[in-house]
Amino acid sequence: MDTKNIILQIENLQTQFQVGRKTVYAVNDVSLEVRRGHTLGIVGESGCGKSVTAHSILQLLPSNGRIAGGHVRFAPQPGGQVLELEKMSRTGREIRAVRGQQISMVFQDPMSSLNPVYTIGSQIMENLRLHEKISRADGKERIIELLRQLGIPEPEQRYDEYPHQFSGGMKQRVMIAIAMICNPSLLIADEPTTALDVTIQAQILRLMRRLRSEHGTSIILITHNMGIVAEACDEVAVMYMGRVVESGTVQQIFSAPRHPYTRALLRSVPRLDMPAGTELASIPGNTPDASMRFDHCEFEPRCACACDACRRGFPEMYACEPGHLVRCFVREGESCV
Amino acid sequence: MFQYFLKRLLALLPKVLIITLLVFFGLEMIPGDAVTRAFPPDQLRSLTEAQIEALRESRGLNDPAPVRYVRWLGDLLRGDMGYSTVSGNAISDVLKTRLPATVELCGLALLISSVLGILLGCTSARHKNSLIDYFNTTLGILGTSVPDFFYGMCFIMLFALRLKWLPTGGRSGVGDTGLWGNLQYLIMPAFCLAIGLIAYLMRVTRNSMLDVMSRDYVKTARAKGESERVIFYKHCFRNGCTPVLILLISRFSFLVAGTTVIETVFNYPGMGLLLITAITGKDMSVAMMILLLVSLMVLFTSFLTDMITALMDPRVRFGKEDGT
Repeated sequence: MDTKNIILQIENLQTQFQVGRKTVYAVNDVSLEVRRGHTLGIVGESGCGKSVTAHSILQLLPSNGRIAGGHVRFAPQPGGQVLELEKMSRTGREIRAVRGQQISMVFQDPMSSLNPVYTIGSQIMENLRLHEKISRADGKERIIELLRQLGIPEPEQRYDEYPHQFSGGMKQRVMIAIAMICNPSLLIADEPTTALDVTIQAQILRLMRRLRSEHGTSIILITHNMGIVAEACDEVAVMYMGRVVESGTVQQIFSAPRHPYTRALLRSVPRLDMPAGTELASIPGNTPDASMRFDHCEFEPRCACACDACRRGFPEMYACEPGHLVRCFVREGESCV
Repeated sequence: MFQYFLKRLLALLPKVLIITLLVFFGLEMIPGDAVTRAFPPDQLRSLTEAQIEALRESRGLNDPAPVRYVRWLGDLLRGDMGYSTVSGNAISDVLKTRLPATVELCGLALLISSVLGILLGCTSARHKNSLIDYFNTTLGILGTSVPDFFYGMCFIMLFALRLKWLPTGGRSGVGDTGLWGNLQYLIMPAFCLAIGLIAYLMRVTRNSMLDVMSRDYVKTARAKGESERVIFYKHCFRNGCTPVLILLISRFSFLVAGTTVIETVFNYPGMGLLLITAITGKDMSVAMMILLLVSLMVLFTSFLTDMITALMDPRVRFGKEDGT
């Protein structure tokens, strides 16, 4: 593993859930790399496994979920040691030292992600004092400073307020404060703006971009919004049915998408320069049930360019250009929509 | 918070008035009137019809009902509850020994059930679907479905008759013995009274904790690197026990109702036993007075519930009752 440039490497990750007697295969085969100081976007429809992938990194899975295979390697320092996160016990001391200190998370719904009975300040303090030996007074100073940086007005007063006294956007800033207070080297943001309205979305995204440039934090940004990817990410991984189907730089994916699924996703984004009355493109069919097991390419039933090869087996990832990987049988130059 | 407190306190008043009205008219419907009820029966027998009529006039018993109601309320406030229609004793004197007995019994039962119920519920929630959980659930089903007097009789047979550890029933006299002296009479009835509530609280605690444990803020705490034990007691318990506490206090009336049966089984001289003897002996004035007291007790506990909820939830504490 190239610890100088890569901070997190996920290799052939498989995550499964036991629901009654059924096994749900949420993540089948995911390989990703997060570059130091970069933002990686993970996109896909609901249920494609992007959130589960993110939760698998820190083993924050519900009790019926487990990592069934693969590796999650994390290198906090360039040239330093490599931690194998998937091997740690999910409640053990080792992974708890990583959580909140070196890798932290921001969740989708800020409304329910803060504990209603504790003040904002004490909830940020909890994270800080778990990982650093710091007096309450010094900690409070540092928290107030961070809240101010994050654009929360009158942080001294708001420090002692409760979550219900904050708006959604402000709560998400508090969540980011909890995530950033220990200066983590990797921030995982799981649809951080989905529950917020559009103007607040833009503010939060701008905030995250600033954090990355000021603190050098690497970010994994999970979203289903292609616009956010274009705006905030350096690299993208497109997921479908628990697999990465295409990955590359934002430039590569947006200007020359190769996988039929990526193309369909990009086509379904509404644009201002569309003629009025144009019907929005959509992908036919639904995402199959995640407890189904396929013996061939999962996207074949919905794919406009499916051929015989697609019905016979799984395509392998191949590099169509340096750094641009596609999992599809349809190669360059072959006819397809 | 103070405003909220006042509002709740004021809301109690009309409820109290309605209860006293009901009791007043209940008492009105009992044969005989206030004169016959105001004197001990032996004294009453020595009075002539004319004297009684004069007394009625002088005491204002021929006044319209609303006037008498207000006067009766005044008497009540001064602690004059009238006399038992059967024994002729002042009701306040009878209650003076009975009320503390029942309060002790209910208090201990409440303590036992909240400690055991919440403890068992928490262990069930922490070890969901484990052997401990199934064991607790089975105990819970036994606790709710078997009536408490049955446990009472089993306990008497085992602990009092066979093992001779505890007395079969009754209660020590006033100032008789130390803590243990009182406790040995209390422990069996209090535990029997508590069994139903233990089972109920255990189920409620388990469900409430399981609900809270799946909340997003628990995931947030986990993502901070907090240990499972701290997550459970700091983040889950604090939120999970609010509904449990409310249900606990609201169940207090069931506890009081349960004393009628338990006190009879253990021949424990409290209000429950008094109520049963009053009803079977047609001592209506005593029965009515007990009902009044019990209703007031229930009202007061519901007031307490509101206050405790408010103290535990910052959303209520700061006067934002509609919540978000």
